[in-house]
Amino acid sequence: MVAYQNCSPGNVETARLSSTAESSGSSGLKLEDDLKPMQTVTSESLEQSMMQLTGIQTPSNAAINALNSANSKLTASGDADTINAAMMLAIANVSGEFCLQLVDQERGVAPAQRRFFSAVDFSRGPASVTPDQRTDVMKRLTRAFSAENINPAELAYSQMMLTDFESLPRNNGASDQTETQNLMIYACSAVLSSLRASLIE
Amino acid sequence: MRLRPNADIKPGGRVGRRNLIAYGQSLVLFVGAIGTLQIASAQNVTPVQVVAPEIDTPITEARRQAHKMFQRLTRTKVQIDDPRVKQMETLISQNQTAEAAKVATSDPLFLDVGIRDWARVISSRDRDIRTPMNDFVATVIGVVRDSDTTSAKELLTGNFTYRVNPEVIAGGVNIRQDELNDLIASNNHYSDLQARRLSPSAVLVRQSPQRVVMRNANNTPVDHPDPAGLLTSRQFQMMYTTAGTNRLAIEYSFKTFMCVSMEEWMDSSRGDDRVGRDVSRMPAGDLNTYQTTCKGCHAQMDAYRGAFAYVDFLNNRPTVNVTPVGKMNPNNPENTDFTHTDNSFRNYAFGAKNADQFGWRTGGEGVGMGDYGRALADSRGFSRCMVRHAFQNVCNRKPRAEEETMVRTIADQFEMSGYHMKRLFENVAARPECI
Repeated sequence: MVAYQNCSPGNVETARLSSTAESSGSSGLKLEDDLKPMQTVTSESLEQSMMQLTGIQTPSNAAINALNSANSKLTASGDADTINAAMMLAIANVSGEFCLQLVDQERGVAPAQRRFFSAVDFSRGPASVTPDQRTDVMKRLTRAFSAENINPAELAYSQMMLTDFESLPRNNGASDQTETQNLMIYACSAVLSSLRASLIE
Repeated sequence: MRLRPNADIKPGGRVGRRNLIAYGQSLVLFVGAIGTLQIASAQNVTPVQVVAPEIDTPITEARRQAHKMFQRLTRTKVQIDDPRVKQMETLISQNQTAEAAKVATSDPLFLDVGIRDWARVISSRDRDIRTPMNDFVATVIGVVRDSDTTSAKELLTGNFTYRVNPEVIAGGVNIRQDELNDLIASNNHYSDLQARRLSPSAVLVRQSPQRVVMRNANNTPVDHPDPAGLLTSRQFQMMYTTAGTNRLAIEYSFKTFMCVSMEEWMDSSRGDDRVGRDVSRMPAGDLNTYQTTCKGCHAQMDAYRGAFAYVDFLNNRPTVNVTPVGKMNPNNPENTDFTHTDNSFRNYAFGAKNADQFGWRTGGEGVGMGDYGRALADSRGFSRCMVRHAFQNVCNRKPRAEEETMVRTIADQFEMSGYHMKRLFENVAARPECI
């Protein structure tokens, strides 16, 4: 998730941002008046964005509940200082529900009909998902949700995080198939919940 | 298939004579190019484009620009390989930036999210994007949707409101629509629109005329005797004519539709013959304070206030009286002999600074909210304010002081277009200052 925050130009940074490092006190960055790094967000606009990005027409009840819960935590002003941990966690929660639905949707159709997980064999465990297949998944997710081709650093980091996820203890003795689904949900959520994917510049 | 928006609903829920085509009531499945599957929407919801990412394909600058423009106009994230974005990319590559913007404004997301969220902000005193859907928001969406046939000036002069068309709602979807209980005396109708997650652009229909309850009458809705577009919407009346002195209606109509705060248009040089009885001429015993500070706002604001003299938001509903309501003339005769005896108003904002900033085109007086709305709508200040709204909404910032010429140029274009709101947003989105 950290790798996809992309604090490089285009997200939190603004063209008119200047550092006032020489000043004492609590103000570190001086933003130009009324210049918002991004547009305001409500749970309804976040819902529409996630629907459009994932292609899910009807969000699940769990997704809707997560959206309703997120509403008060989303930035209502677009100001940089309103993008906080609570907001990111709320978006991550919503992303998880949309990704769960997306994985369920895709594993129910033939690989040739899938848009994101065509390389994944959901009938087998996560170890069967080769590095090349994981690369394919991450390329698709990043292109779709972050509007970018994944760069080598992001790809390397994503491979590492997927490996780390696999090493975690399984929940309640989950099956191989469930773990593969969880791995894909994890990959999907990591990208979909990033600032680059959830906020409009 | 798309709802045709011009079938007016008359009071009582009867549908106008034009045939209605329900939006997306047939489910149609297209399989296009490899990986692109498009499903038409059913059940009056905003349609979702189903897109497969085109990995490893270079992203052109035109594509990035198109992507940014689409998202800013619709306030919605979409994939960079979205066919709508690709269509805009082609147009941008051909230097047809305004045509590219039209692709975005033609999409339901522009109205269902972009315009909706803008309208929610300006419909509330707190400028809160989380303001619930209401008749003000619905009417803004409707006017923008119907830009080809409806001038933006009717936002302040129109004798209509927009509501959910009962004929296009799928069976089993409950939208409360009792005229008195759900549209006039509460926000139930619009709350249901929001709660059911319906597409406003697909389900809204214009209802003429506006309806209201006359004060001290028998709670039977009647045709509004003094309609003025959004100024006589339930939401606006609830925000600004509840208790108080109805001065908020003036302050916030200027703030919302002329883009000036009270501080920006105060002018102590104006005559104070219509300043209300509740304003002390000797605050804390100091006449100078009144002359230099209080009068600066009240001289102009109170002169306008008469336009709202007959209205009050009571018992959770907007009401109209036939004489000035009590709050217009508090019992403080020591301050002034002036009392409101009707709903006439004067325009005293003709000082040098305000004359230029507002660009009045109509005379210095009028009667009622209708005349008041027309005076604002006819002014250059209104056109420029709409430009500022569009710019801030699409470009994520207010125009800078040095961009005033740009604002006025776009405002002139807006007026020449017949106050076409969609074209305004397209023209702003295509500006190099915005991209």
